[in-house]
Amino acid sequence: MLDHLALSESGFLFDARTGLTYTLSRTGTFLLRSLIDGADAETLPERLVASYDVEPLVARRDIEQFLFRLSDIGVLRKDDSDEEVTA
Amino acid sequence: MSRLPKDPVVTRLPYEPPTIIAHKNGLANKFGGQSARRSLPRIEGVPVAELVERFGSPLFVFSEHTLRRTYREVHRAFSLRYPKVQLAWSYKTNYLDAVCRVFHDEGAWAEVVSEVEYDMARRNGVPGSQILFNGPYKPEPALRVAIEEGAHIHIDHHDELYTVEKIAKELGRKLPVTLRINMDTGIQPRWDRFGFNFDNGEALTAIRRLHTGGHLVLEGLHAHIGTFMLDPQAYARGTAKLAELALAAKRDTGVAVKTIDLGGGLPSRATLHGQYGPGADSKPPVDDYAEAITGALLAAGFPQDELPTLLLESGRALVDEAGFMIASVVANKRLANGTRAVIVDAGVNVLFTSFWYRHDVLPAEDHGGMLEEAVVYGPLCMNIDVVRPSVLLPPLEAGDAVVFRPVGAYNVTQSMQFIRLRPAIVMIGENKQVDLIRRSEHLDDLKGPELLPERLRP
Repeated sequence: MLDHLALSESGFLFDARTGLTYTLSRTGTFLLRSLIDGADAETLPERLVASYDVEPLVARRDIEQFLFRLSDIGVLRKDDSDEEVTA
Repeated sequence: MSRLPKDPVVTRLPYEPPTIIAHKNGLANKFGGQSARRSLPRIEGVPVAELVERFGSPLFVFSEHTLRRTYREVHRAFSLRYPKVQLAWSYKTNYLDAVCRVFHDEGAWAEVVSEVEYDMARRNGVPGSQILFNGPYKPEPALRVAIEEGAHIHIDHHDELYTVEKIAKELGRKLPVTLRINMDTGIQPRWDRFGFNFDNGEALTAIRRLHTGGHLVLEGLHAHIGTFMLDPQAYARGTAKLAELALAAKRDTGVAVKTIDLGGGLPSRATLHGQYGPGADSKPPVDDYAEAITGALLAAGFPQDELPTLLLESGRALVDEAGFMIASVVANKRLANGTRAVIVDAGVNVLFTSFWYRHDVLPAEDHGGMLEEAVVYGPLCMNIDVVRPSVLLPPLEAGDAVVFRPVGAYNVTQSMQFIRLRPAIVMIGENKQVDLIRRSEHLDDLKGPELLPERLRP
């Protein structure tokens, strides 16, 4: 569903739908890669905590804000997924 | 006893918050992306974290070493080029007793602009004879005390001239005075509110008036040509005009002027809003100012035995870099337009100069992560409370310390208890000893002077 997004390992993102480009932090890249690969947004906090040195509460808070930001700038849209993308 | 095998250690990667930054195409940026990472974990060798733990946050920090080093650099730059130089510490820039006493210990006189500052200088042990009394308003009782104690009176306007003349008449002796002079030095804005104008002849007329009155003697000429002056040549022009006036006064009255005072206005390494590069790169070295001023004095044509003493009333240039403000992150926000916002616990009520300068904002620790442009807000519930409108910062968490610099000039003296009380101030000594030089305020410090009418009491 997110095949309009081309994300490199270094965090460079090209959105084919808008032609806009972005830079993501390492954790931002990790999370968006997970979504592109089909991960359920509900599983993101668990995935982040497993790979990064972060408390679950902080991970959940940051992911919530990150996903809101992705939606806000149009990288993710509600119709990109059958389910609403929230953590 | 057999040893049990340890649990496998799971190494997790260092964390930074997930962030996405949109690229802005088409914007000119010849320097490319920002990659330099800067932090300030220690001030004069003392860990910032330790200072916060001991004295709380926010916290002003002054470096005694930098105060002394800067004073010596400025004094050396001038005294190497001119035989008679005296610095006078500008009290209004920072009148913390500890700061003043460091400068007096280095040999500075005091330059004061009110009776309050005059009393501060006296309490700091400065004799009247080493106080320059400046400013547009000196109440008559304050003038009488200063004259009695031998202070150097810098007359700002005709009304003051008449008042001092009246006092001299009453005392029955001639009083030495300095006249404040303003002039066109080729810069904008032109400061013409202090003193008598050189260019239209008002200054020379005032000197003649002073001389013919018979009660005052012209001791010196003073000019404060501006503030944060980035052009040393403006000082050269100002000095040449003061020297020309001094020589004209000698021709007219026969009295040789003993002091030429170029006031203050030397810049620090701070960066003005709207300035293209960092202030540290665009500020001319103090030697350029010394060369401009002393060169003009030496070329003016004073007889060798009548070379006036050069007085300087530096403030900002001596103290700004010695001052730091440690603040702590209170919260992170994302504004509706996507801008990253960081709220810290020090606002414009204690960082007043944020309105004019882009202070460095350095995390005390480098946590890694991607730099992102952010607006830094203070803690006040006021829209104007912006301590840095735009700065690249790494990810910061609530509780992380950041250091603002340089903030040694004017912030302490212009700070106010607005919404929040004012923080503690410490000085780090040459031996890295940290002393509290002003405690943080209590509610009584704010409410103490108030009186409640009887009818409003419970």
